[in-house]
Amino acid sequence: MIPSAPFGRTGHESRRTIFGGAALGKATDAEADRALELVLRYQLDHLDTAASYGDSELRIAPWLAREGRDRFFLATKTGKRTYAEARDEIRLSLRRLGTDHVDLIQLHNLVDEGEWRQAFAPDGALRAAVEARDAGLARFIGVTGHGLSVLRRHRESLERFPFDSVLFPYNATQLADPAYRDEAEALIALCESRGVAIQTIKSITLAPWSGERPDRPSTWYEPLTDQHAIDLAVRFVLGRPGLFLNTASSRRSSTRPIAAARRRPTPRWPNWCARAGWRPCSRKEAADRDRTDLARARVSRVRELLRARGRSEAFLRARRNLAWLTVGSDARIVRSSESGEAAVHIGPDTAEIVTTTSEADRLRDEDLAGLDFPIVARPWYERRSVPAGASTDADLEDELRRVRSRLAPLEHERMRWLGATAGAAKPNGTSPRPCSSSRPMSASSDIATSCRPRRSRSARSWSWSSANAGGSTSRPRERCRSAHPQRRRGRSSRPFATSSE
Amino acid sequence: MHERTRAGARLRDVFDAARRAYAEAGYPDEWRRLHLGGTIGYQPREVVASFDDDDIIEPGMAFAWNPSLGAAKVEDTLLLTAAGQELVTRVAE
Repeated sequence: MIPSAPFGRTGHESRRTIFGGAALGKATDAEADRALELVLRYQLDHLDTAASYGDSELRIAPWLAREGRDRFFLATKTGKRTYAEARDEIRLSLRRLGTDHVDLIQLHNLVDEGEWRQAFAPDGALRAAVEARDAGLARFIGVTGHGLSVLRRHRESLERFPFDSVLFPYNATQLADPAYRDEAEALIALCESRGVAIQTIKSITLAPWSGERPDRPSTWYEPLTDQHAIDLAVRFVLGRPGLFLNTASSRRSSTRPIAAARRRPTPRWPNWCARAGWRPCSRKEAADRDRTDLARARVSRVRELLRARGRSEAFLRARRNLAWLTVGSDARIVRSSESGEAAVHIGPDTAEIVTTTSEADRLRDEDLAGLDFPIVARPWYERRSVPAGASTDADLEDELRRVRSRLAPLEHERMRWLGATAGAAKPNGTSPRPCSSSRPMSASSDIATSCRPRRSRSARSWSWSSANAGGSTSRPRERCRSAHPQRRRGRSSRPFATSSE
Repeated sequence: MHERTRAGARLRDVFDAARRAYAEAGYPDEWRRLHLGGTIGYQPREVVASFDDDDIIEPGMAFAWNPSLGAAKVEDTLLLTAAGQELVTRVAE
């Protein structure tokens, strides 16, 4: 069976292969039924179509009525850019699909600069989509695009509006281009950090059509035809967690990725990637890039907060903010100090690390290595004061504590690592274990005495309350506020252990 | 509290559910003695859940709920991703 995954933050789990309705554009009812038969055979549960896909919506309607509208996550698109046209087209799509609502309405191929501006304008298509959502005609709003500049454009779109999904071309041929690959990684990182569903198209691209382009091709590119190559190409997409693959617009091609998606990964995949000229970047490179993108996004977020308060500068010295902004550096020397040895000075166009000459080299080579913050170093005897008019940690804390609560995937990884490492730690050569007592205990020192670690493997869980998502430099034991294993509710009340056990 | 920590819910929903649980267990005022936790990130607590906390829970957030009863307190670190909940503080068995 084709696996499912959460479709972004929508709460819906979709099969990772999404049925692409473009294949039904010129199909007869009978042909459409045969193609849609695959949806049932492979238990797909997510259909993606568009107002502009010929008769696709009309072909889907009777089938959907028969099989049950509620069994499927139904997505369509409007390519109109003005409010009035988009509003009308969305309603037309619902009528054509024979349903009172779609699950996802997408702004179709929103890439061109002029169209993009129009769609976001007050009388633009986005307003129609939002109205449709508010009226219950669509549950979520997405954006799609083709072409090489779509990746950057999607990021801009996501900065303007919290779209629930994106869709863009993703295949080994295009990713062989380092610029496209970098843009793709940046977009994927952004989507992952915000829970935006990531749909990909053109998975089975061989190349742009060369000499032998058929008269009326049903795909924009020359598709792979060899089933083994298709398997590899599909695996190339699905091998990456979090991506959905939308099947192709050719009726023939659309069926093959579905079948391929069920097959196991092949060991020849890396060789094939290498032949396609695609080199996965090293873990280090990928991590640096993720961190840089996150840091930039966070600086932008602070600028937004500043703009909302009519300010233009921030000077942040608290370690929590330094660590959040740099995704992991708190420039700490003294643990008990609230502030580190560096501050972040954010202006409308600049974001600098301000520190002393004695710390600058270390920060550049260690804490901030891989990031692109300029470092401004001043000698220790020059007073470091907050620039006039700049907002401080305290000014922004109420908003920042909320923003800091949203952690990125790379921070999740650190948390998992920290949790696992702390969980496997054996203080004094023993394992943590649940602590229980049959007599009242009045002070934490009692608990410490009663629940000394013993050689036991029965423990399940203990507190790690002050885990810090940013830390990459501190040892996990330092991060455990309590070294005492704590009793979990509902576990047996075995008498507490003595040290002789 | 873990059960209530779902994307789309509000922090106060979790807090309210915990207070109801205390009341049902016969300790209606126990929650006053210690906060019950909230989101974590770059501080031991970023947002401590309380009344009128309309912050929406989103995938990507991490939580440390710490209900207590008398001298006993439990606390795990819970990560909420698009894929669901993950308990990151788990001791090897």
